[in-house]
Amino acid sequence: MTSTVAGMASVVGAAETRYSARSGRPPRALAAEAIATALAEAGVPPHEVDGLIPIGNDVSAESVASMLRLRDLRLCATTPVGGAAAIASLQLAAAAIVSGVARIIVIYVARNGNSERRIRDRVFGLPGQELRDQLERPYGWMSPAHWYAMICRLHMERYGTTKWQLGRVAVTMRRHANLNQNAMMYGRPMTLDDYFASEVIAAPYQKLDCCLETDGGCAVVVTSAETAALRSLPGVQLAAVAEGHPDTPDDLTNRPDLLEIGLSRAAPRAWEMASLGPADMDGAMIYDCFTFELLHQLEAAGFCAPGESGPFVEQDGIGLGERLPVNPHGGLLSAAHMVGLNHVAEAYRQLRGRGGSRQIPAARHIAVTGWGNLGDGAMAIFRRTGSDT
Amino acid sequence: MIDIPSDPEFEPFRAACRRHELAVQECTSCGRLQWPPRPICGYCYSMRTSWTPVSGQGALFSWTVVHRAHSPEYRQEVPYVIALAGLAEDPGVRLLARGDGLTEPGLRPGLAVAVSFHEHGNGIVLPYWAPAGHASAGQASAGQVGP
Repeated sequence: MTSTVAGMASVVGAAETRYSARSGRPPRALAAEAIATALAEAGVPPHEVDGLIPIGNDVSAESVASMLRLRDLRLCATTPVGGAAAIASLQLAAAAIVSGVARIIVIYVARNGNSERRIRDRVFGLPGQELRDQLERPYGWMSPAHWYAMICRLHMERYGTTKWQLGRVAVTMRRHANLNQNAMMYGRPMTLDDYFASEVIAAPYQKLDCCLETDGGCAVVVTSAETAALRSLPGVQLAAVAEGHPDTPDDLTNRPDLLEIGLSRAAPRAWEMASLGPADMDGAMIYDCFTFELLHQLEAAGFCAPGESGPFVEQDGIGLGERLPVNPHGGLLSAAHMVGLNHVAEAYRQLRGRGGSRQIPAARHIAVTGWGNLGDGAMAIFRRTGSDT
Repeated sequence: MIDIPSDPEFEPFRAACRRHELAVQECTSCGRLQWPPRPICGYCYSMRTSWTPVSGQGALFSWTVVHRAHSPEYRQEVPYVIALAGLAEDPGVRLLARGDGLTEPGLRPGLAVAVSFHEHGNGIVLPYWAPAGHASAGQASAGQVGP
């Protein structure tokens, strides 16, 4: 089946605020800065924005519409899929643009995710709260680190995946972050010894297997590929986008196959939609909420066979200059947790050749994945457009 | 002391635990076991479900050892094992519980486990997974744990 959204939308601007552990600013100010900067980069006057897709509920679309004095807002919507929302929002934006509901859509996230609303608070907004209340929290199983450690352990037992391989992921992300001045871990190198010495959170996860929590904002501007071309906007084409969900999306414990995630179902559709495959990618932005989830998604997206992600990072490599450069900005693990919208911003930056010291040479295609809640997933495939480089 | 919000959908499970029995949801129409309990059978979409006792024997599926807990009542108990095990009656039906006498190393998928029951005060009794054949395992024993 051919999707009508394939290649029809483009990202024409992306911007990030400074990322920090304590912004000292209200989230609405972070949102305003990120959105205004992204629109300025795109060369799109704010009054043309007719669609807003917030990620999370820290800054409402109404608040943004008021701050920017938008007078023709036609679409306010949000996707409830946690860390898959950046990509799911791109799917929603593309569908809205293709169908003519809106023409210029801004996807944004802004929050004080470290200094104010941390993940231990946000988990109470996830689906399946009655299951958490009745069957999980009473035992003290109550955070993403606790939950996903169970999946990681299963993979280790089934395929022989090692802590050394998880450590390799963490160290590679940190090395990349040290090429990114806006990374929270810039200037703070990390070795495998540091990794193994870090506090155990929920075995097999240690502290350095877990992503950061971040204060900041990020915004992405989406319009039709046709508008981007007609107006010579600095566009990167959305070649494909797809969302997928695992069995029993609100419950990990009784999911028939704990390793089959939303991305396992979204990725094949995205590859088909783009008429591209994993071997065509010059790089990938993988939603690295935890070290193992990066490995897991390399498999689910098809970059390697099931069970092969450990050897893949050891032998082929996910660092810049290696087989598949992953998260040159340092990812959620070492740059910032902006719900993966920062992964979209990095893909945009790379495909416009603006990666600086962390540029993937001659990057033409980049895949971006999302992972949210209890395994919801999504994938986008971006294509560099000819006029831009 | 732990607190569990009242939820009628789970009350038969809680009541069985108070009797030191493990019970899971069963569809009255198609006979499938379903866990967690839901208002509708996800296999035949019947709304007619009931509860059935199970043996409390199981096989370990996966686990984690929590070293950092996120609420005060658990911080004094770390490290603790959280074990997910499939029931003997249907290995696809898995119960999550605290480990009772399960320690790393020595855990592996397929390890035989059996339910033990632990009184937590407030009338709350929780099933734990213990090694099968372990002295404190089985429905006859109940450990006093927690504050």
